[in-house]
Amino acid sequence: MEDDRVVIRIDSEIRELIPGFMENRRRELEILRADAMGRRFDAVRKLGHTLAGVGSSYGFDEISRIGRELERAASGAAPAGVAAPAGVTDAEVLAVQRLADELESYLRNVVLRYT
Amino acid sequence: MSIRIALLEDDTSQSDLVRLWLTAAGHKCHVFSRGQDFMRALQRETFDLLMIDWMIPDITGIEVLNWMTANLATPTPVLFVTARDSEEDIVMALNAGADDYLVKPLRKLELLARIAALARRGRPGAKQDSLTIGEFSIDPARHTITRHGDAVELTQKDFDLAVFLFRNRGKLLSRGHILESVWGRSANVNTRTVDTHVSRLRGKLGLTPENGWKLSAVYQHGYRLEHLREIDPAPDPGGGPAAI
Repeated sequence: MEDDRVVIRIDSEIRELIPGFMENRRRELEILRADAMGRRFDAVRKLGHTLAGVGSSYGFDEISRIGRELERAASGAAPAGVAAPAGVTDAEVLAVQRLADELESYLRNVVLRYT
Repeated sequence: MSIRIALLEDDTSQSDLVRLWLTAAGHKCHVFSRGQDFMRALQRETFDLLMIDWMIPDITGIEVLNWMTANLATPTPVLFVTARDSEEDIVMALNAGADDYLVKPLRKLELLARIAALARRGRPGAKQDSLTIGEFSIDPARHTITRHGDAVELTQKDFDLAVFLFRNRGKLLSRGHILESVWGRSANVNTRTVDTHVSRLRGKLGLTPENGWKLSAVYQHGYRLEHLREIDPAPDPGGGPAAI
């Protein structure tokens, strides 16, 4: 739907990198869903960390926000540096799945304008 | 100023972006996605600056810093780059040997400014500054070099090589580093070219121990120019080689 579109302005200098960037994020979305289902929250936390670090560098602030949320959502069940974390609850899995839905929706609706 | 940078970063989107920014700014960027490959490269190559990410699959950036402190003779400026932004993380990285710390997401102009600041610390003077060291006076802007006041005729490449070596005196420079800094990355020449020019320069400038100079080959690595009469050796305030 037209209303769901999100227009992002991207520096033309990095135009050649954008297809690879988007492809990487779509691939990570699949990995994220699989990790959430498999309750591999250490992997979810690391993927969130990666998204948080890279999104805004390219101009995609929303990807960085979702990454930070993922990192936070996974840190309760799989805190950094803890070898054998406690079990993951259904609510925590649901929270990660919702963030994955947000990421999927964003990737589907984002419209790029090069400046 | 163009410098040679090694980047340790496992996320390809991040490394592609940083490489594009650095290359557009005139720098040469070598990307490593694994810590072991990065450390192997540092054993045989030299760089002007290192950019290290904290979270790498096979090792942490902190462990890389600790390894560098224990194993590398010549310190090279390190810019630590990570999404971890707590005070204790920053303190840990700086205490482990990082010279500066940048929190992701990266911003292009800030990144380039911090790189320029770190590079300035590692070199004696600005690119166009003239140099007077012992019996030599070098004016990069006019492309002239004199020894005891007498002009020495050099080809363009020999002159560029001389400036690079004099600016980095006392520091070990890999052949790859010399080649890239003097000839450029795309130049269709091999490391033997460096050997030929170094040998010629040694003769033309009299860079021999009897003249108070030593331009020595370091086995399987590169070259080091030393001024034997320099009471206070070339300053190396945590700095790697200086760009020409």
